[in-house]
Amino acid sequence: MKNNWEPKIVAFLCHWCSYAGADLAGISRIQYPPNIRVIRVPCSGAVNPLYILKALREGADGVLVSGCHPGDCHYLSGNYFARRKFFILHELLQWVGIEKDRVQFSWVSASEGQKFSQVVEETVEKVKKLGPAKKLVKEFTFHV
Amino acid sequence: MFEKEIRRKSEELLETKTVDMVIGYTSGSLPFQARPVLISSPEDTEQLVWNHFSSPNLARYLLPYRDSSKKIALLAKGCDARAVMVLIQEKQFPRERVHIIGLPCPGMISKTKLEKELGEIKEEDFSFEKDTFLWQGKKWEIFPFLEDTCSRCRYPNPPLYDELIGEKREPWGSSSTDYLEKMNGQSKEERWQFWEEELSRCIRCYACRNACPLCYCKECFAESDLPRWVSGVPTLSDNLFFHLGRSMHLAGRCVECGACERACPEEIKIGLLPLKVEMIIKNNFSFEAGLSLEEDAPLLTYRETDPGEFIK
Amino acid sequence: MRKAMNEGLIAKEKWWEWVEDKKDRVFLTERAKSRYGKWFPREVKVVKNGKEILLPPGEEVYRYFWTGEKWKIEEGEISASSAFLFSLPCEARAIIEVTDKIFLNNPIDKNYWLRRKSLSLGIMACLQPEPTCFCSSVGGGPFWRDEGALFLVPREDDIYIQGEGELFSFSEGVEEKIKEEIQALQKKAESVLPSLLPSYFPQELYRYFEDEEWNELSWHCINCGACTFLCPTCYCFDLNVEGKLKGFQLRSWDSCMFPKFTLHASFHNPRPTGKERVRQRVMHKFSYFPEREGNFACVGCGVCVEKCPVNWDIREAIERMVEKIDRFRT
Repeated sequence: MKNNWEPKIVAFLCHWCSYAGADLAGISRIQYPPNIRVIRVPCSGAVNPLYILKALREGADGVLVSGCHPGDCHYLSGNYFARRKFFILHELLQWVGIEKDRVQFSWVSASEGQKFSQVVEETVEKVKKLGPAKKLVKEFTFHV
Repeated sequence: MFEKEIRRKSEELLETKTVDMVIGYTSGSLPFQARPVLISSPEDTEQLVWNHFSSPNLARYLLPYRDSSKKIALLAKGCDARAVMVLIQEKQFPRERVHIIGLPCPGMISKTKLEKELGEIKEEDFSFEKDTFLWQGKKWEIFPFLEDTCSRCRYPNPPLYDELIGEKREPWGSSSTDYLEKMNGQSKEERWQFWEEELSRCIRCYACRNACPLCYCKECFAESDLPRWVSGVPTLSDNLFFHLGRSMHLAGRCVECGACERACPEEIKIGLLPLKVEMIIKNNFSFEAGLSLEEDAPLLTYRETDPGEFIK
Repeated sequence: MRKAMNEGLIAKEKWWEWVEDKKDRVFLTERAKSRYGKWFPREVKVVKNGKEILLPPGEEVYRYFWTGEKWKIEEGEISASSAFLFSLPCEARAIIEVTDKIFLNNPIDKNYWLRRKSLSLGIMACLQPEPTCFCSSVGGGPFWRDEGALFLVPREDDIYIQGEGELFSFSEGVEEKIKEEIQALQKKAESVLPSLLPSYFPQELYRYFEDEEWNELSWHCINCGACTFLCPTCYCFDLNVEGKLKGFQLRSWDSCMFPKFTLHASFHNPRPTGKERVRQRVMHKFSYFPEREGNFACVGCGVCVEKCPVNWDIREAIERMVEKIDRFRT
């Protein structure tokens, strides 16, 4: 029964780099696991830590946040601030006891279609090993 | 313990109209408790007290006067003065309108710890002297009776003040990193168990948030409907969400005063979460909030050399 | 019409027999436990007060989902098995004289009613009031009892019990000597408590609605909500729907201290600052509710005074207003 479980991963992709990279992966017909649900954001710096927590609350088994490489941000410094914010959030979540691999981050540029698919594969593999998310998932829930 | 000097100074400030009001502590309705008080006339300065039970963070009481023109004198312990610094930096209160009467903090004592150790106690039977007190003919060290938040204090002396009443002192020995070191050394499962236990007791009364001088959002994310982040029900997941979210919102701003932990009616060690965030920032970005008016907040700056190995 | 008061002494062993047998269905309030914990097995569940059982901090009212063709709504299931709650008189009075009047009158709240009818109350007499107690000033008392609940006074080796119950029925009554002892204990407990508020207080307090005293009184309150959540009589709740195509309506505790309390849909809020909220809390408990129901909506348990982070004391607010009222009353 557990073998059939596929994790649901929410991916916040920055419009200018990672989203374009994902698009390139699609156009190049590069296969990657279909477990991610993409949410396009203007910049990785626009990803509020609350979005990540909310995704976990709503039942996402994993969260991926991807942006431009440092120095290449379309908005010049958004990803630098993102790097600091996510560092703090990641350390805090680990300290409280949330598994390290539930929330993952990457820099993927618009030309890195191959890298994007690799990143997704890695993410899915790591989350699969952890099993379904339980710790931050909201209690009031039901399945029809 | 400098009460007379405080009263005299406040009277002077009010009489000379240097300030319009003084915010300090007065004796509460229960023993071993002080409460915040607003004094606007020189005769009332007799009400001011200053002791080991003056624990609420008074910087919080500046917030309603953000838009008024009144000049306020604030009795500020080390942590309170740091909070005022952050408020000034964030342009929530102009420096000219607050007159900080700095008070090096002797450490706040926990009434619960006193009662646990000594049984039934009366305030009249105690006399405090430096870092000890006399009770029933015996001399006791106050360190074991300090509130947890105060036993890990690193800045008892106000970093910013217009005048100082009292003698500057050394911090209480153990730095906050030590306090968390023990928890850092535990396994992830142990820490999760600890937080599960603590946060299951949280009833989401928001005493922690309201006692904090830096939680001044007009609409807190926890009470937002559009978007709705958490429900009103105090389930474990929502409690975690609220406290993690609040700690993230305090990143680089929390002055570790511990007012949140002391306010909690369920006695949850809630101050440890913002403290951990501040430790992360201190160890990785070399920044501590509320110590200098010139330094930029850590989340408003960046360096090329910021840690990034966790990003693929 | 009722037969003579059923009262008697139950020996320690018989009590333990009874309570051990029922221990899975027994709830004990925190304060009752700190006083009488030794009369109960360790496994009994401890609650803060009756509100936690009867009006839990969160519950599902209904759930709904879109079937593809129409909306389906299912009412939340409440299962309530018979249980006992042993508490102090103030906590029991909070149920019988306040929350029951709100939730069991027109309209009857179904969830509350289901839980309430399966909950039997046991009132443990309060032999040693705390310095924060003031139950006697609001119409209660350390030995307050009600015919709908058991009344117990634990002694050295036995418990004096009064009340109906198929559990305890006593053939012989109680010796005069014991009754006098109980009365003496009652007097002793009552002697440390303040006197009853004047009967004209609810009506007169309302005339001071706009008084400046409220500004001073409410200044240091931080409007957190701790007092309302810990209070055994505060019953305000919030209803929220969560979900889109499928979801719930959840009922959770609300507090007059929260900024969205009484926020109108127009975004006007008649209680915009802390002053109005503090005034509302006092007025509701000491004027609006008593004028309507005949008794104060405060039972004088003192938990709010104990736990307030800034030592806001409702007794002081009342005292000041009584003083003011008495000064100007003809």
